[in-house]
Amino acid sequence: MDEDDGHRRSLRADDKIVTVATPDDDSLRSIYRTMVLVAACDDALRAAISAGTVTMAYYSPRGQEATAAGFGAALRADDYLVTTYRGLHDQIAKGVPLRPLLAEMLGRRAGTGKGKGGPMHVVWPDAGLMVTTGVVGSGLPIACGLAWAAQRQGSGRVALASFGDGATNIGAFHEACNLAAVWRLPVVFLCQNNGYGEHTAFSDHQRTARVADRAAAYAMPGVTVDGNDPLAVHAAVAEAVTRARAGDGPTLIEALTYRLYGHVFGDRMGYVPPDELARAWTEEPVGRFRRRLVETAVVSDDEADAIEQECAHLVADTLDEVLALPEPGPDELLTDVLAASGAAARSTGG
Amino acid sequence: MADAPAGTPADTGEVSVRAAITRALDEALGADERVVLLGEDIADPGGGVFGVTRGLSTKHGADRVRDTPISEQAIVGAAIGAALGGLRPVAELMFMDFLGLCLDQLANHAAKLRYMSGGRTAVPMVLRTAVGGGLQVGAQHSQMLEGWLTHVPGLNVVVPSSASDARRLLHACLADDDPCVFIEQVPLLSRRGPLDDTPLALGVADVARPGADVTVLTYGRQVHEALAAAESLAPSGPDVEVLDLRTLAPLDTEAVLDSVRRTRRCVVFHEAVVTGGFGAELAALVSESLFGRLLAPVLRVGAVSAPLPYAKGLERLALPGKERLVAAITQATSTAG
Repeated sequence: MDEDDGHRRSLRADDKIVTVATPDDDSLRSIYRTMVLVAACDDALRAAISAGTVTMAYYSPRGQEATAAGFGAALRADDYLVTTYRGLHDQIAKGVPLRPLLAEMLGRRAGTGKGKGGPMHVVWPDAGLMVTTGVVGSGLPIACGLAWAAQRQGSGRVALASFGDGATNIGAFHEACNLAAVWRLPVVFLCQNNGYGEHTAFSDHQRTARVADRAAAYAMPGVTVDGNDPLAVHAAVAEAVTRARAGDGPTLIEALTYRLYGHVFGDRMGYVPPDELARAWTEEPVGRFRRRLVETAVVSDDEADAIEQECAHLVADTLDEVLALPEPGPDELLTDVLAASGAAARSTGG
Repeated sequence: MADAPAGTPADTGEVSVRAAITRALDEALGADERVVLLGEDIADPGGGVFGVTRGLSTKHGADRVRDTPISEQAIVGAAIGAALGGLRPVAELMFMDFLGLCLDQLANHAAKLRYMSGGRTAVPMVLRTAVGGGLQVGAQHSQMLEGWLTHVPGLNVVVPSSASDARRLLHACLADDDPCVFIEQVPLLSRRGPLDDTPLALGVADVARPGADVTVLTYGRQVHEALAAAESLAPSGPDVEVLDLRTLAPLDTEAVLDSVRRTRRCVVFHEAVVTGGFGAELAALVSESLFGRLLAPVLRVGAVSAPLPYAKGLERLALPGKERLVAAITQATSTAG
């Protein structure tokens, strides 16, 4: 067993190696559709921001669709997700409906948070999405708590914390990994290693070759997979989820992927070597998975085209619809600060 | 029953603040399966650095009264997640000075998740934390930092002054659907008093001593110093009203204004550093609302603007006490009425 192989295996001798069933053709098509929907949404949002129709700080997930679609297919609808400001792909993959999702991003009353949270704070408990945080690394300890609740309630739910490589240098990451390991919590720590923490390259922000290497420090399994291959991500997450549900604790998964449009909309990506970016586009995951599905006759070219058109229309229609929706009114300013209505005004002395 | 939580079995008469808090936690653990405790060394035999949770893990199980690594972000973050997941967690932050280690979780997450989700999620958690001012434990184990918290919308901030209030306010925190920070001043823990089973809501101040000439707005252990100051002035000096705020957020604004409207003079008295402290908020509230009615400027008495010194004499000088309060009351009442 070489070192890489070791990442793909549990560290403890008594752990079972979980066999993960390969998704059937329907599931493969569903995974592909999720990826296409994310890319279509991203295309539409970037176009709308460029056109001035929409104004927001936007963190494109383009290039990371496979990671989200892979883990989304490996989770139950009632499993928990905690994600980050670069979260559109995760949110769609976990099943957040498009209309309230886009409405929140555009600050509309019909949004997931009545337009009061914004794109960095999308929450949809019905799909298990409990927190989207704008603070790097902060979601991991919260995922531990969700997992602890699931453990105590015997619900069998698992909490997946999604974060970037940049988050693995903040204290919250280490505290959460350690707590999850000590308490054997049903958590999956999913690092979407897109090569950059904000504008700093991976090799400039940590000395470790692989984020997954850090799992050894917490005596939990660490796995590195091709994050641009949804089936590789699906297999790793499904194995981690099985282990978590069985009471065997957390797993750290590193999905190697790429951020095709930089950190935030408008990023000129001057810090990215041009050949690196060009290579990343040749490995762009949505097209790559399409080719694979066509080659293996899971879908025909026509079927793949139809999926793309369906998603593009859905996004365009939903965006048009959402653009026409109202913003939250002044009556929403002081609601939801606290459960008790009026308490907010009282506490400010007003 | 050697392992029973202090204050639990058939106590009659007076109990310490420590025992009252233990009792509230014991009652909550007994009544509601969703209640869980987490923190550093809170399980037996230690039962927390000040013994507040002693006996509880033995009685209710170490899986419900759970020791954690020394990881304040993880403790508060896990409490938030547990609350989102349907539990009613009570986390212990060993000293309030360690707030900086978990303030992101508390201020950016616990306090905001309800608002940012448009009410879709709630964080019903309690963070208990101790303050060691007055015990010669130095500048990193002594700070009253309630002003950091009252500045953040979405948090309840509670500072009990007696055994009965501590028990009842902790129950109110546990019943509340929003995050509550419950501040336990260590010198107060051994103070004894009777218990009262009447429920007490958050946001209800208490007139600890009625008076006609000047209102002292205070909370926590300073209530007792204020009462002592009032008594010392009683024979010949002004008649001092002492208002125990009990909770700073929500603040019983009506009680504050009702009292000062009557007395027309006000002194704010707290253990925290004066500069930028919660007393400034109180002074502003009173001044903005009652400017024309006041007979004297609102005065503030609190700790000096220095890290709390270790040496006993210096610590005594740094913290506010009865003498400085008496001086401020005298000043506030020196102008003609």
